[in-house]
Amino acid sequence: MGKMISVFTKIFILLFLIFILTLLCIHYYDNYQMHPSFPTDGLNQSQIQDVFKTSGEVVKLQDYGFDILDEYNNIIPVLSPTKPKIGDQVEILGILEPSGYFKSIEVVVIEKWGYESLFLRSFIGLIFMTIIFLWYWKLDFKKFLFVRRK
Amino acid sequence: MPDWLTHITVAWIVCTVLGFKFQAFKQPYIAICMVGALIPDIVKISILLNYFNLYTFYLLAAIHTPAGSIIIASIISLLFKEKKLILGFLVLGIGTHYFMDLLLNDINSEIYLFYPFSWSYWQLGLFSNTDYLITIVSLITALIVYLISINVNKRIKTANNKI
Repeated sequence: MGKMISVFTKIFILLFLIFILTLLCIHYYDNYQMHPSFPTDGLNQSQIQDVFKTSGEVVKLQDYGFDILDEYNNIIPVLSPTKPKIGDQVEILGILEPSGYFKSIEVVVIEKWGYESLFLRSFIGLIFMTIIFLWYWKLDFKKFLFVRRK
Repeated sequence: MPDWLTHITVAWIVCTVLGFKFQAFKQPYIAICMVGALIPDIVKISILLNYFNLYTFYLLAAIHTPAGSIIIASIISLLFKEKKLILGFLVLGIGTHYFMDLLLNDINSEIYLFYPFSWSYWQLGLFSNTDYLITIVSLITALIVYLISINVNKRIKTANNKI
């Protein structure tokens, strides 16, 4: 009986936590655009409202700067003195001009090899952590609990 | 984010150093702390989903806040018998993750430390998220800490034998 209550309590706590997490995610999604998460130093209040950030892969170099492909598969022309290479990832803080160009205020360039090596190092880290974790812990399928290996 | 190798290495270093002072920091729990160090980056699953045209980053972004990460840690701790202890180590790992993320220079990063109570945002801008030097520094530090830990463990064993 005690075990039944324990399982019931666990399921209740799990559902409660998932509920709270869902609320947090929805609240974040609905409100993040109203709170710029970029440096606002040197910008006046009217500029802050117009400024936003974007990121993507450099697909073409242009006289005015470069074009990027963002995560929604949109091509964005960027007015910038920065000269990245094709394939580099860029994070841009800027203003969308009426002409349709995105004028950069700040650009962070992540070189292609740097971006790929980040994934490689992360993959190595994930494998390493999985091995260490399973070295010390195993899943007891009957109790559905991780228990320490002896 | 720094790469995950750096995150788990830093978590290991912190736990091993604390283990010199506190006996609770045993290897199995250090492994738990390393898992905790990757919890905030569960949000990176959205990169995978992008390939299926499912753009979920901002829907999942709350996970990359301390509040969201601690809720995930609480859910994971339900899978262990020693829930409070496990939660403590997971939260320590989460702490090391945000410490490292705060050092970054990353326009696109979303670290609202006090979300949902505040949208305040800080970043020290010391290095880029693809900077491999931070990985090398953390691995060298881990090696030094490992060598020190061998020495410390020998001393503890010698002291125990004398008793």
